[in-house]
Amino acid sequence: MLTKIAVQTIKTKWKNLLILFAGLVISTAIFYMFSTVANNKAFLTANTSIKSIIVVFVIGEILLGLITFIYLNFANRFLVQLRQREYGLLMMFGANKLSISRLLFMETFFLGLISLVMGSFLGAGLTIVAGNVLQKQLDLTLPHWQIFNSTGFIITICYFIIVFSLNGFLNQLYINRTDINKLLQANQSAEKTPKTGVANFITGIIGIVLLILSFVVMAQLVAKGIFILIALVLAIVLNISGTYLFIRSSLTLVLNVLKGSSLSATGLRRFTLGQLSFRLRAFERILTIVTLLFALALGALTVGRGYELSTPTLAEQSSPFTININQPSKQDDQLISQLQGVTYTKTYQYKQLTNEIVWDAAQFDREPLPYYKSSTSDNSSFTASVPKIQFGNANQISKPNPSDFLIRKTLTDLATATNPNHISIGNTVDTHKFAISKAPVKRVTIVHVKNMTSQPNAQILKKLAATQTKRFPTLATLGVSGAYGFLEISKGVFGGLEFMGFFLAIAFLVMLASTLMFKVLSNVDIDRRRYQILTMIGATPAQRIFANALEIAIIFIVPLTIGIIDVVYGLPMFKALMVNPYIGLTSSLLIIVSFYTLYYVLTVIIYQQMLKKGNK
Amino acid sequence: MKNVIDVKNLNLTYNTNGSKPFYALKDVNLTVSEGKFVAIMGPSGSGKSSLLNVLASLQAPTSGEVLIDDQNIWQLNANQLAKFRGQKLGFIFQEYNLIESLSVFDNIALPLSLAKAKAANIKEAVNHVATLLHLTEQLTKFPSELSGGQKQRVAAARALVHQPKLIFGDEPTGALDSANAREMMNYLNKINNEQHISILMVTHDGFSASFANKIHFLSDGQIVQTLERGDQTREEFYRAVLDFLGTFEE
Repeated sequence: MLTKIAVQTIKTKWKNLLILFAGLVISTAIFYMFSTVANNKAFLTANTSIKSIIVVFVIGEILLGLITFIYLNFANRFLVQLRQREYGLLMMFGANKLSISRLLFMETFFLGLISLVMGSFLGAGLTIVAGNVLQKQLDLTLPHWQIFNSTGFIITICYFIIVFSLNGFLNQLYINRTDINKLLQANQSAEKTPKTGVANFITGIIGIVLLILSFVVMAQLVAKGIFILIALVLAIVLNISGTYLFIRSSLTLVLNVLKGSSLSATGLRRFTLGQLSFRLRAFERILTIVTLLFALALGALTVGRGYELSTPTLAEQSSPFTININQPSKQDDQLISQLQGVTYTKTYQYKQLTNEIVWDAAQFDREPLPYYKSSTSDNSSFTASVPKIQFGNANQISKPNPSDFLIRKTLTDLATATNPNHISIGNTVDTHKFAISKAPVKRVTIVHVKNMTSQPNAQILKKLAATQTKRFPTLATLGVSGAYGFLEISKGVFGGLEFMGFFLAIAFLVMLASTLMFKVLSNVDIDRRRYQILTMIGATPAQRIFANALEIAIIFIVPLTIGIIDVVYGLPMFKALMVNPYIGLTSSLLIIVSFYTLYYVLTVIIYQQMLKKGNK
Repeated sequence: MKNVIDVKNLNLTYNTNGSKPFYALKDVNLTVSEGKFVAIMGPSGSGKSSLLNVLASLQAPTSGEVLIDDQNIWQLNANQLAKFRGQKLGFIFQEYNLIESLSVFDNIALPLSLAKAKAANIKEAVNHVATLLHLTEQLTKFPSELSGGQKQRVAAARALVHQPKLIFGDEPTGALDSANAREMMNYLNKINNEQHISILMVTHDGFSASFANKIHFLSDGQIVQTLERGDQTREEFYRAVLDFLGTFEE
């Protein structure tokens, strides 16, 4: 009989349960995704040069575990809330508490088990898709990449079984302790009344202070590498507790001020403010973790984008030409002619003697050689901009000024492919010596393009580099010269970090969407009646939709704002790992905010649909 | 005297796709004169709530006309209807239907806020009805902090605050104990007599109905009998209602 009733409940409340179930599956999937990478130590160590990367992932896993725990705990209470009236009725008809609490435990546990199985599959699927798409998109091939990691899988299974059992046990405890009457009236019980008064004022202020302190610790200690691990943990603790108190109390202060103003009297503004002061209290924990997820997603993406964006710049800074083609064939020339945004193409002739390479001086007067002026500041390599390309003639090459000495480097880098010992032997610029030498004339073409990562340039450069490497075995170990060669090497060094940034951003973003959307949508039942009342009192459909959209917007804006500030203050922590941690911020912000806005619109649409459906 | 409600040949049917439609309301004709208090009585399933929903513009009828203050409400679009409700109608329900996230003051002020009244006017109007319904002490509280009787008074204050033409009551004493029910009915009577606001109330309780000037009895979606209070005192009318109910239910 009890099973029959449980099945019936699923039938009648399947929409609510579906939201709950989707949330559980997604959280399992994301945890699996993260665990797979975090526990793949071979992958982590092979793809980054940062020793502490494993520690970072361990902290990340603990943080995600905490987020998942809060989320599952909330989802669990939602399940109990859906079912408790029915349990009350069953008890009234004579079902004993033991069988009811056992039933609830079984329900929680099985729902958890099903979502664990489905979530693991989804997680593996997401890992495959995200992993492959990203590697392709970022043009990376990462060694030791796996979509299944046994340790990660075992950790996921154990973690979720423990949490689900714990939740089941807590539910049992709740049912045992609550009397029938309370269970029966559960659906009518009001939400917690927002706190006002002195205590709230004090916690509100403490919230702001803790948040500011967390920013100070991030910027002053972690970023400067002082007591880095302790400071990092301290920053996280301060930030999470600050965010929690800020949402719980500080915002209530703001809402109270707004409610008191005469501006709030018109239309449904008071209603929205009233809803928010109740919601923020009910949402304090969820919004705290959503803020955290938002900051983590944005931070991860910014770091990933940072590497993606700064490697071409670093590459550009390394050489005034994009690629050099030794002994260009007709096919090479044809490929070069297809390059876009070409700043210059120059071809030089040289003769290779036993101990030196001789260049015809006259050609440099006709076609001056590109070079970068050496910067006067010490931090030249730490600037994010690319210096202007200079061109020097034969005289400047032979006797360069101190600030022009890099012109010799360009010359040395030109004929690398044909000469395995190019570094140790000299380069002479002499018209006469060139003319009298009997060695065969060789040619090298250098090209500079404005953008080497966009298409079709990236593709053409790849082909050119490949044919050069095939023709000149020296390049297999040396790599091609020029900015393009540097870019290829950098990808090997930074590609792993870039990939992890993007991968984690996707994971956090999906988790965020599921958490926030689930929490917001779980309120439809409470709100439906309120909107019906508004209809009766005379609120127009547009007024009602606007009020609802505004309320959800503010709930969405809170984590967005705190999350962005978190990232702005948190990014200096990456100064040790990258030239300019902020370089990827604008574009990442654009990407994340776009997705976030999309979630928002989607949530409002689903909310409206659910409100309407209930009205019929 | 002018009619505030004028209902002509009202029908409401369900399952019209099937072979035999079910009539929730069948050929109902009804008028309520301005300033009058009318009750609708009938057993469960007689169509009381359906009638109230159609009159209150919450549910569209299958056919027929509903004129409220000379306006055919079912000719209005959603926005016009909302505005109409906001200006002309007030509602009191059995389950109070207060918004728990708003304080008592804000709950009462809601119809005026929606009508974009000025803050000062809102404050004055709310204080006025709060005094009338003895709610001055409760204005800063939230609904969850009130007793059933107080909640229903807040609902009445909200129905009254914008001075509507007509208040609809759907079992307004249904959730109250007898003392609170009597108090509530006295307040409704006061609103009707002193503010001259017409009231249409649906109830299954003879005691509450005895406060009305006229009672329509509904059975299977049709008005089968009407009792007029005339010059009778409320107690006399109550006895008449009980007598009638004895025969009606047989």
